[in-house]
Amino acid sequence: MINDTTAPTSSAPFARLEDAERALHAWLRANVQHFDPTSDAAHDGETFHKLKAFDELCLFLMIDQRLGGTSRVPQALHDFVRQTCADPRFLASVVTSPKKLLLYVYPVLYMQRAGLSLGEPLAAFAESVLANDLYHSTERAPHRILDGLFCLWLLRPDHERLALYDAAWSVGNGTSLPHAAWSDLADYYAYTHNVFYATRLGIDGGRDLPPADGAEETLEFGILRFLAESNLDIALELVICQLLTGARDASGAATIALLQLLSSIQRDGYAPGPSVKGEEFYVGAAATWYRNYHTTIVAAILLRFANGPQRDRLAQLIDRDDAARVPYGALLRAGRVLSELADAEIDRPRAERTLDDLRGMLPATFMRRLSGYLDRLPDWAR
Amino acid sequence: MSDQMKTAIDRNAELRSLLNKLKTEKTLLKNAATDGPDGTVLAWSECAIIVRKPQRAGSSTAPIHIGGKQFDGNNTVGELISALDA
Repeated sequence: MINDTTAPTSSAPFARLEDAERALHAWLRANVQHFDPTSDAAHDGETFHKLKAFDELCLFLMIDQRLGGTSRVPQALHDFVRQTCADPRFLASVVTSPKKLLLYVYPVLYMQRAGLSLGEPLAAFAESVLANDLYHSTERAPHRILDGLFCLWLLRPDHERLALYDAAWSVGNGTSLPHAAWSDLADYYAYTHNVFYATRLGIDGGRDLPPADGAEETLEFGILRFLAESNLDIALELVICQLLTGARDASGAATIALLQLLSSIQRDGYAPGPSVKGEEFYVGAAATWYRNYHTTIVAAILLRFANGPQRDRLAQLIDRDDAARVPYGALLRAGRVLSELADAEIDRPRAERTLDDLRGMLPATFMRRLSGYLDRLPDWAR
Repeated sequence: MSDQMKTAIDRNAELRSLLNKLKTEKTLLKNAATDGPDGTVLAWSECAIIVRKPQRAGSSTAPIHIGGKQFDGNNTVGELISALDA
């Protein structure tokens, strides 16, 4: 079991996380009209953006439904999704777009779970698409195959096609791990999604992953690198992966990510996202929503885990010993070194010199781990 | 490792560096063109000197503010954890 789905038994060690979760819900409520895929769109791109955003919102609410215990999400968000799912224009789009089913599947899963009208027949339709050979008669990245299989598992946990799960995992970069000093952002996004779907996002007890040598470093050093690049979005996804896999975090990377998230929420009310394609189509409040909704949903999912069934996991993750006396700026500077190595802006000797300058501030255990991590790179990648 | 191998590795690193610079500039030019001042598309040579990388939201070096307290890079992880607890 990678987690339990019962209500947490421990006391609340991180009270501020509950306030932050409520603030994100308030922002989602205040921006709910932007998620409406049935609203009039100024251009085709906007329709696609809203369908994707609505699908992500439904993923979040479906996780809330299925993690067990009392829902932590305001009823108004559930009401909005129920109302939109019942709109004939939206329903027509679902059944006429089997090739793009993954763009509509979380609303269908939500409808089925909530017992909404047409939920069952649409779920049967989605299952027939995801299980059919035609749906698989194309080449997909392993994490996209896992995405489809995860949805099929949610629809029918005993489906025979789910036997492909292990095969898809074995050829993705969940087993051939990305490296924070070499891999690019797309590799890390593939990795987080491999972990999300392979662990079934912790739903119904989740799914154990085979132990992978170096996975904890992939997560921790990845978080430090992307925080140094001011990309909170992928850093938060990596913290979710830490929770889902029960990883330890001896460096304090997850703590810094959480505090940066809380600071942003206190300042803006949302989790700041990176630049995204299509920003030029939006202005004002819509532009703020478009740029930040994804990261805000990622943060809301993280806090749903952290304040719910993964509360004990989070308490274990926030290590109070190893990193407690370390200035967090020094950790971010180490993350910057990883970023510059990955971008080939510096070479290994220059990286070593920078890390030497940090030696007095960073614990010897951290330096040994980082050095060993860098040594894993083959000669041609250094 | 042979000298020949070392040379090949050095050469490889050099090429990677060049390729990454080109990739960065390409992304940059694309972003700068769409984000150009007053909506105009700038010449590539003008774009190239504006910024080095696409800017992301939320600077990692900005102080962290939690509950009326401010933390900067000199604060320890332990102090951040205390802020989380409060």
